[in-house]
Amino acid sequence: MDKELNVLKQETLNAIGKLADNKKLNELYLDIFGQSGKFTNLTKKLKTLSASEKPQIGRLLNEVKKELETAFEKHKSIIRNFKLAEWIDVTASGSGPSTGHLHIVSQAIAEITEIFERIGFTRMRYPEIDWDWYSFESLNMPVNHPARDDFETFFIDLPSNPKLGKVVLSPHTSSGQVREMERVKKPPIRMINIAKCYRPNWDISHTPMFHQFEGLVIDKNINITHLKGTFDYFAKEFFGKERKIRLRPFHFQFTEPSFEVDITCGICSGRGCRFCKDGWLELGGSGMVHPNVLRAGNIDPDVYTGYAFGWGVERTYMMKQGLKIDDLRLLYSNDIRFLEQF
Amino acid sequence: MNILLPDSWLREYLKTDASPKEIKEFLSLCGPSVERIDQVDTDYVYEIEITSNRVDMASVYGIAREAAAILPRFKKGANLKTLKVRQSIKPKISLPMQISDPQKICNRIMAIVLEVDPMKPSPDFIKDRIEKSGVRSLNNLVDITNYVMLEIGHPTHVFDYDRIKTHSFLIRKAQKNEPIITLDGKKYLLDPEDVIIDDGTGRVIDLPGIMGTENSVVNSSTRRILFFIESNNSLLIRKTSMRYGIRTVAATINEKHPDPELVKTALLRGIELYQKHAAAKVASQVIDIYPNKPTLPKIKVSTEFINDRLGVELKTQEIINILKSLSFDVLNSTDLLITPPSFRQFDVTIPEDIVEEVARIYGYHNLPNRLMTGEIPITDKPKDLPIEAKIKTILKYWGYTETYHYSFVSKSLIAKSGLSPKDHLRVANPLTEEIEYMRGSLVPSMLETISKNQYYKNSLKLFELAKVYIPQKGNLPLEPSRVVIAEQTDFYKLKGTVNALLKELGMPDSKLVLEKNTFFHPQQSAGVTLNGDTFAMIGKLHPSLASAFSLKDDLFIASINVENLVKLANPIKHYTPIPHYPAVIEDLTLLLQPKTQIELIKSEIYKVSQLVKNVAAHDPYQNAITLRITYQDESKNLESADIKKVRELILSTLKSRYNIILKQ
Repeated sequence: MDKELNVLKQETLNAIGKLADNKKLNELYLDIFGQSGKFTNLTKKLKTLSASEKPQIGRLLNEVKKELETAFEKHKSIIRNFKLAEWIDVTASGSGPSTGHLHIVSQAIAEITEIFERIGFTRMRYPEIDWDWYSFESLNMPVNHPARDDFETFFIDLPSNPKLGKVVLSPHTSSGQVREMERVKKPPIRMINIAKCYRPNWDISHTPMFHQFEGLVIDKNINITHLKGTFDYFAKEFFGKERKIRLRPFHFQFTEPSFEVDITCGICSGRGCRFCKDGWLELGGSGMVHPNVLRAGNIDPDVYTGYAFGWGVERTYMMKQGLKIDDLRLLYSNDIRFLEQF
Repeated sequence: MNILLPDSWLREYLKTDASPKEIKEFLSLCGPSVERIDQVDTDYVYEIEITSNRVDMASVYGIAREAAAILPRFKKGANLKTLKVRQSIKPKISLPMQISDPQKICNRIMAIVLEVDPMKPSPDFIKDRIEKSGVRSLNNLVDITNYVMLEIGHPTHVFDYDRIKTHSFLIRKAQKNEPIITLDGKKYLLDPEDVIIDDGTGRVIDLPGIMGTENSVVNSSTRRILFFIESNNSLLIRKTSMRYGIRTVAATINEKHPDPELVKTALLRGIELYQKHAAAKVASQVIDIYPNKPTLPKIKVSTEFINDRLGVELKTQEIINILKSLSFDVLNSTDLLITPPSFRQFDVTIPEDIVEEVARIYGYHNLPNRLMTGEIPITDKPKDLPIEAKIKTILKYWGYTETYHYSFVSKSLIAKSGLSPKDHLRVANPLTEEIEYMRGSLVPSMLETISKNQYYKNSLKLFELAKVYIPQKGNLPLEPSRVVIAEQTDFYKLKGTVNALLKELGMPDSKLVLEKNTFFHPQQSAGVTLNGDTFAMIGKLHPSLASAFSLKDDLFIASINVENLVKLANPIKHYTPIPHYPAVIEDLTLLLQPKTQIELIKSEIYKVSQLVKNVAAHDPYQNAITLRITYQDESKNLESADIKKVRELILSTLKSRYNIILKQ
């Protein structure tokens, strides 16, 4: 009989745990302790036992009764106080925080900064409104040089400085190169300069304000393989590890040699498609820092060499995302229907 | 500049087994970028980008020469078929022609008079080739000048000899406002920096190197021509061409300083073509004015210098082979003594230029990728950038959407915002009125954006973090960063955002003071100050601006100077031990007098006793407010008697000073 009692106890405890409302719990209680309840019936059997068994089983009956009654009471309180039976519609909308949106240019800048900081670059920022000296002259681009055609420029209506020239809206982040050399004084330099730039073009694929990120590395023994290695690292981190880069000869006044940097197209994986040029997309310009630029920054080109690059933030980010924004001017239109998509 | 080059014409000077596609790919890797190939009839036309330093490649012959050096690196056979022109020119008769350049403006001038048959259409191959190259075919006399330019790379000109009655050319600078009517019938008033050709009588007959004039051009009655080539001052050509916006192919080549040696090649090639296709007979001596033949630069560079910059070890002989394939003269002694060919003399002048030549022909694709191995520079990092990034992230996650406006504003937006254009920097050459001024505040652009978006969405919550531009006398402007937050909620929500933001950035406690500002509602705005500096403003937009921008809902704006945050924010946290004895918290509901500042009341309560650890205001209703006061003693459990004493002191102080009583 002690076996039967133990089975009843275990079954009852299990049953209690599964019930979620009071009515069912009362029914179970009657089923156990009612007039012809399971426990009551077992109690009735006590009489039929021998005198030697009686005291032991009697004690067991009391223990089990007490234990079950406590379990019933406890579960009743869980149902009542902790609302075990309460139902909600879990498919209804949540009411958590509504998050806003970072502009895609901010998102791009954050990603680019992080990648370059991992390989020891420090992000700097230099004036957007700067002297001609920093924007052109110190970059080996004298006033009448045809290379300046590529950098059509906004000027600020302010008097020129006799030494530093006119006040310009910097057309590229390269204006920070000589400023960084002046700040650091003695290499090594590993700088990434991300800033607004301005050029007088305004159409479907140009905005008069845009962003560039400029890298500048100067140290002893810097050579073309380091420039290639850095671009390869950036391309793999930013665009994906299967992407490759290549250099093509180009010409910039402030670098020698100069390169145009291409990356394999992400859409066709370099096989060639209508979004790319034979499998390649142009990332931007770069080169080994021209000795005249190092001299302008008071760095001895016989001791130090370096490389530099300046690429468009908007362009690079759109290439990554495969975003086909049909009109670049949308980026700065501040239409909430555009901003909320990112 | 981009040039168009027919494959058939290229192969006249380049013998190669490379296909057009291979030519495109290999040239792009080591030389000029071939941007596209188009099939035209059975021919192909390359579109090639010529960088400003490589005007020597802006021709059929120039590309053939370059390809002959590059293609063999890709195991393609390639030989340059040298251009051969007859050197000796024997005039049948000798007509007079006087050319003078007293100021020595030009580097070189060559010319010859030819008798020709009346003009007629060009033979098909000339017509076909120049048209595929993007030049319109007119007649044989003019087409030959263009054909020579496209093939050789130097612009050439033809005049009607008989229309230059004086048979005299004087090269000189123009007088101020001297008029000229160019071939296309446009009239220009010249500048003293423009170079012109005068026929000796003061009559302007050419804007050399850029465009001819109607008064000397060949026409159907032309029987004698002056074939004329000048290597002009590239800088002056460029200025004149830009000044009047006359961007002819001739001008874009001449301004890049083509090799004066080419003048002769072009002249001889032209004579040959006129003889063949216009029945030309030489009718004068060859005129050649070449006052200062430039000496070619000599560049000393070591194998080590080149290899240090390449990052690989090339043998001296390999370097020499590469340079020789590009027509450089190399003398190998302790260092390499290198002389570029005349057509590269202005482009290759320093050792780094030699590095470029060697590296590109060796192939950038053959160089390995490596990261720098030197030490990582330890340097002072700017403090503002991480704070700005943090502010943007915080606001984004609190439900604000970031905007990016142009740094420019229009005069009308400045005026509409109640500001004055004279306090703003002006762009001297703006494209349009919309981008004429540099903004000195982020608020006007934001108001415009709110106004534009208010019908797309309710309860807008926007922000921008950007520089503003503050003029400085005699120096560059200041470019401090500002944050502007704009939301269509209420004052306290915005104030809460600003407070939480300042706290999150580690700003010490600041004070709110009443401060007047033209952007804000006079009764519902305040300045945020620290150490006497107001570094932020919070408030409702001034009703006159709300009206000017036709805003349909109330707008609240905060503007924060980032530089103050950079100076004062300290993200380091301080530890104070957790108290051993529990706090006692009680609510006092008070009846306030109208226009009572709750901050004042709170600070009064703190002053009453050290036991008051916190006072927080809750549930304002009409003139009643509940203050939840936290009492705590770090050294013992507080008894109700202790609290009663403090409470009575609080209430008596408030009653006597502010006539505030407990609500019963």
